[in-house]
Amino acid sequence: MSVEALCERLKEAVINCDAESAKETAEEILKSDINPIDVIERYLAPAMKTVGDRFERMEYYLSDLMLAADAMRTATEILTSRLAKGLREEMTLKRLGTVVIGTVKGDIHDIGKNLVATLLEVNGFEVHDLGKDVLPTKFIDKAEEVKADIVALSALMTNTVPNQAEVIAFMRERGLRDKYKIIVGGAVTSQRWSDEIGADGWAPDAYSAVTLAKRVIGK
Amino acid sequence: MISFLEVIDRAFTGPICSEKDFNLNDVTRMVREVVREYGIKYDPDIPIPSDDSLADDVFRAAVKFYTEVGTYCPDTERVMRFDEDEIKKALRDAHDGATLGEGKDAKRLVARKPESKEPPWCSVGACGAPVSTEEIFTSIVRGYGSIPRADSLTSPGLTTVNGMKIVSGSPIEIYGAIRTVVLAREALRRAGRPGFPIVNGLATAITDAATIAGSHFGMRPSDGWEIGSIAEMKLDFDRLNKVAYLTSMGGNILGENGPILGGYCGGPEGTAVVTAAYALQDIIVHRGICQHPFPIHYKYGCSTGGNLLWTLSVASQAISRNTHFPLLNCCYTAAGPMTEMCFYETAAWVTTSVVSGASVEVEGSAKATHIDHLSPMEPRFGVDVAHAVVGMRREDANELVKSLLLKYEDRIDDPPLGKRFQECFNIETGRPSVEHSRLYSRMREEMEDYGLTFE
Repeated sequence: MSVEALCERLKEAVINCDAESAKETAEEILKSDINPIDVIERYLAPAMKTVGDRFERMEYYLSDLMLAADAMRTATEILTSRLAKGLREEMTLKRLGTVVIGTVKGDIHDIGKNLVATLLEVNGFEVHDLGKDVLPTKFIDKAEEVKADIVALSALMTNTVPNQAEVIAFMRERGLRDKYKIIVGGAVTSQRWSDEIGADGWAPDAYSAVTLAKRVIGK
Repeated sequence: MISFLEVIDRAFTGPICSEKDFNLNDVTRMVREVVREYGIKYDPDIPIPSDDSLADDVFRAAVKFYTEVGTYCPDTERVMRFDEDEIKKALRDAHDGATLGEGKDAKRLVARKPESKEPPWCSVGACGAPVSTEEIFTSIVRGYGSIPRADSLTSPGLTTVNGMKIVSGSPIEIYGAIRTVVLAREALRRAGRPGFPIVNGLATAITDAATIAGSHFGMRPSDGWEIGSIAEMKLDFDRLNKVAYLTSMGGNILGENGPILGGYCGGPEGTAVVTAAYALQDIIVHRGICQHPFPIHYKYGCSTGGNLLWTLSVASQAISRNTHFPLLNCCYTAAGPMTEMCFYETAAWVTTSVVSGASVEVEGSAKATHIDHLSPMEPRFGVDVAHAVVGMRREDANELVKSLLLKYEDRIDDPPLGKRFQECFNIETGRPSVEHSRLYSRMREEMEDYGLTFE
């Protein structure tokens, strides 16, 4: 099979959310001398765009998005495994930005947050997902560790949403508020809430979160 | 049925599994498999199907799904699984109803069937929607308690105590939970219904500690406590602790679940299967007296879109046709109070639930996420419609609901927020504004034009 045909097969594997096929095909492609970055940009990125479009049209759902992202991640790791350090750093630099995301302390709801995290990743962000019930200091420590651009806070309930304000208060206390862009989301949040607590933006849904993330870092 | 201790034992001894694997490899994979195996197909032109074989296929798919998938415990990272024989015995031993309320307000919540002439149980209120002050809480609960033919209260949730913001897991949450019960009981007394059951114990409480604490300040064994699941098919120790407590004190548990259309369940077919499967979890793990489902849209956060009405109808028919376990569906509208859209959504959702074999809880208006955006008028309308559609054939209800969907579905992604309680009701007297009363009357007349007859 030609390299182009293999790349098309890889693209289809991602669109079909097939991590196993993506892994096998990526390993085959690696035997050729094609530039891995070309494969990622010309085949994998459009594959995820297709997946994202299908999700927007509700032909695909959250699980499809996550499985497709897994397939893409698997393929990318394999394709970049033999890249020189410099080229890998070049790829990292091409990322739109770095996001630390999580559901705040006291809240265990994460489906919306998972959706946002996956969409940010497939749209070119490096994402560090801290999970749910996350203490304010954990957000900040991770943001410092990975040199984040954005800290994204999710909360679903009225009695947990005050902890979004707590993260911002902790940042101010440590003199770090201006270092990061803070975006908030979740069913009980609003633009008014975002303004009230001094966040940099609010997104009503996952797709808006991607647009918002790009906007707050000037991309 | 196996004992609750045996269920807990499986939380400690069941197969080990990461949460991500459970979500994607177990739930998502198996729901797709059973949807395919049983040939379940969503038809957007028929929000209320009359196909009994479809409902029965969904039930069989749900049983297979739950047998294979079970319930996940995030605290132990293990799966509680139950075999087919245990599920059969659970279905046999499941509650067939429960008496809720005291004195003149005592009444039995029972299971219904599709197109049944048995009137539905009508729970009214806020579905936990947040209110800003204790004064508004008391006034609106008095309003809910004043609704004729209402059978129970689903109270709002407080967001402040003595003006302090309630934060989950803190001492303020404990005070908030206690205050919720104390105020609700007093408000119901003022409405002349001291025996009226509260069924969403406890609205303000998120943690087990707050639920247990608040229960000692006015909740009765004849009330109900909602114990929710974590989407999908997950129960942590916090929730299981509540089950342990309530089964010991003899409280009635409502097994609450909000499967997400667009999430791990996938589309309407998968969401219908998972909704039906939750009934099995509600019996075995929640030890519930009824299922309390609200399948909901991942993006719109409401339960009234056409695809969700189909999901709810099919799942309700699956459970009501194949079990004797009561079903008390819960409504979340997109639009807020004092909007035509909210009334249309309520009518469509109530009609769907009642003719599909369920009882109703109305309602979390404006998705129950906007502070003070609730009122007793829309639940009152919901009760009116619920009684008016009793005995209606599914085919006729389908035509009615299709007409109603045309009135609002295109605005679901940008619904009107409506008014806050204090903008459409007098807090002191509890009376609705003239405008709100007129809207209520006009919407009733419109429903009569659709062929409904109100008492």
